[in-house]
Amino acid sequence: MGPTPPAGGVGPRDGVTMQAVQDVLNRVLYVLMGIALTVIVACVAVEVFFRFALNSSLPWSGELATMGLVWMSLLGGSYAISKQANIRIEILVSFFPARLRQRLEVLTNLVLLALFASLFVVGLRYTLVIAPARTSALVVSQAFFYAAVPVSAAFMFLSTLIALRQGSPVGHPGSGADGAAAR
Amino acid sequence: MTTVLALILAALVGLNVPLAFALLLTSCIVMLLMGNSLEMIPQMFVGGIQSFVLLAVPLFMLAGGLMNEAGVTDRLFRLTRALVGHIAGGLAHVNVLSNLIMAGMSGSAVADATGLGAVEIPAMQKQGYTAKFAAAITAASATIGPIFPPSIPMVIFGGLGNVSVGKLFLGGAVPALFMAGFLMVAISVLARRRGLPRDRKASWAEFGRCLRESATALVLPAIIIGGIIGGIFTPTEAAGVAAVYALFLGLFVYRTLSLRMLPRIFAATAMSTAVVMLIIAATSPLRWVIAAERIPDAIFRLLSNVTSSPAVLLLILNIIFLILGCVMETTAIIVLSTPILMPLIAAFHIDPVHFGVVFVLNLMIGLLTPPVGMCMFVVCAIAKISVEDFVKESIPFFIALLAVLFLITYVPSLVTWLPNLIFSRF
Repeated sequence: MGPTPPAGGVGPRDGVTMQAVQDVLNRVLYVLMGIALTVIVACVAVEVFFRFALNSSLPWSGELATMGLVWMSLLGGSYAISKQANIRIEILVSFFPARLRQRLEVLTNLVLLALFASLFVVGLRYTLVIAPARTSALVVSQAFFYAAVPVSAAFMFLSTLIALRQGSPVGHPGSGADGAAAR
Repeated sequence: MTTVLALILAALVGLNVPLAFALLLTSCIVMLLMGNSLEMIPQMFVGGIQSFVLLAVPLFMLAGGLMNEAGVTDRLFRLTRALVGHIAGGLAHVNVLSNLIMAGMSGSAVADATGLGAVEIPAMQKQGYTAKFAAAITAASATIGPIFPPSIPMVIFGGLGNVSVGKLFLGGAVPALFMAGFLMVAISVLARRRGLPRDRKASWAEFGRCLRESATALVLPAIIIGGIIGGIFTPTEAAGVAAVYALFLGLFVYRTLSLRMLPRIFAATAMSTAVVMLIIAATSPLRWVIAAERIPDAIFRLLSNVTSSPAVLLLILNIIFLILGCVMETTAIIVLSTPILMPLIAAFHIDPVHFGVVFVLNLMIGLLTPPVGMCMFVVCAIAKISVEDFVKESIPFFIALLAVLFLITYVPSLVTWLPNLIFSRF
C-alpha cells in the first residue's frame, strides 16, 4: 500500500505541522517530567541526609517531593498519550475488524476531548478558589499543587486533538508496555 | 447506581479507552448522576497521589532502571553462576538465585524480567537450553521480585489500604525464599528427567573475583532491608537512598552510566510511574463513590451468606484474582479492588499484612498467564518464542508458584512471623 493522505481532507502538510506541534509539546513535557523526578529524588535524599548527618529534620522536603510526584504523574500521563503508553485492555477490540477499530478510536478520542476540556475548566476553577490557601509546610499557595490539573488537562487535550487529526495507526502494541515496569 | 457504575466502566474499558481515563470518566458520570457537581474532582484527583508513601514508587523504579542500565545484572549473573552453575540445570538455578538477589534491590517483576532476561536467556541458549525453557524460568523467577522486599505493588497496596509498607515488605521475605526453593525443586526434577546441561565447577579464585565485582551492588539490599528492619528508614526514604546509591554506583564506581544517559532514564522512569499514578489518581473519585454507595457492605452481606470462614473467603478471593490476573493489568487490579477488599478483610478478621502478601503473590502469578501477562510478553520478546510455547514450558513453574500461594494462604505465620518479630520490638 502506498502512502494515502489521512481521511477528512487533511493534507500531508497539515500532518507535518501537527507532528511538529506534537514534538514541541513532547519536548516540553519530557523536560518538565525529568525536572519533577529530579526534585523528588533530591528532596528525599536531602531529607535523609539532614536527619543522619545533621540530626535535624527538614520540614518542607516531604511536601515538595509530593508536589513533584503530582506534577510528574499528571504531566507524564499527558506524555503517555502521544506515546500510546497509557494502560489499556485490548482483549475485546482485538476481535474487531480494523475499520471498526479505527472508527472506535475516533469516537474514543472525541469523548476524551470532552473529558479533558471539563477537567481543564473544573481544575482551573478549583485552582483559583484554593489559591489563597497556603500549604502546611512550604507555606506557598495551594495552587502550586492544583494547577497541575488544568495544565496537564490542557496538554492532554492538545495531544488527543493531534492524535485525532493524524488518525493514529490502529494495531499498535500499546497495551501499556511502558507502564509495565511498575508490576 | 452500583450496576450503572460497573456497566459504564466495563463498556469504556472494553472499548479500549485507556484505563485511567475510563475510570475518571466513570467517576464524573456517576457523580453527576448522584446529583453532585464535578467541583470536587480536582481535589480528589490530586489528593489520590499526594502521598508520601507513594513517592516510593518512582524512586524504586528509578533505582531498578539505573541498576539495569549500569550493568548490575551482568555482575549478579556471573556471581550466582560461579556459585551454583555446576549443579545439573545450573543456569536455570542461577536464574532463580540472581532474581532473588535482584529482588532485594528492585521492586518490579517486569523490570527484573527485562533486565535479567536480556542477560540470562541468551546465556542459557548458548549452553544448549531451549529458548522456551529459558524464557519460562526467567519469567517465573522474576515474580520473586515484588515479593522479596522492596516491592512496588506492596507500596501501592499499603498506600491505598493504610497497611504498614514496612511490615508488608518483611512479610514477603519468607514467602520469596519459598518461591525460590520451590522453583529450584521443579528445576531439579526437570534436570534429572531431561538431562539439563551444567557448568564446570568454578574455582574459589573465580568465585572470589565475582564476589568482589558485585560486592558494591550487594550492599544495596543490605541498606534497604537493614534500614527498614532497624527502623532507620521509612520505605520511601529507603527507596530514595537506593536511587541515589544506584546513581553513585553507575556514575562513579562502575562508570557504566554517563550524565548524558540520565535524561533518558529519568524520563522513562517518569512516564512508567505516571501511567500507574494516573490510574491511582483517577480511582480516588471512584473510591469516594464506592464508599458513598456502601459497596463493600453489600459485598460483605453477599459473602457472609456464603461463608463465615476466613479460609473459605481467602480461597474465593484467590480464585477470583487468579482469573482476573489473566485478563486485567496488575496495578489496575490492586488500585480498584483494595478499597473494596479492606473492609471485607477487617470484617473477616484477616491480618491485612497476611492478606497483602497473598494478594500480591497471586497477582504476580497473573504476570505469567495469557492473554495479558506482562512478564510473559517481555520474555517471549527476548527469546523470540510464541506465547503457546511459553505457556507449555511454564506449567511446572506455574504449579510451583501456585503451591507457594496455597501454602502462605493457609499458613499465615509464614508471612506474619518475621514482621511481627521485628516490629514488636518498637
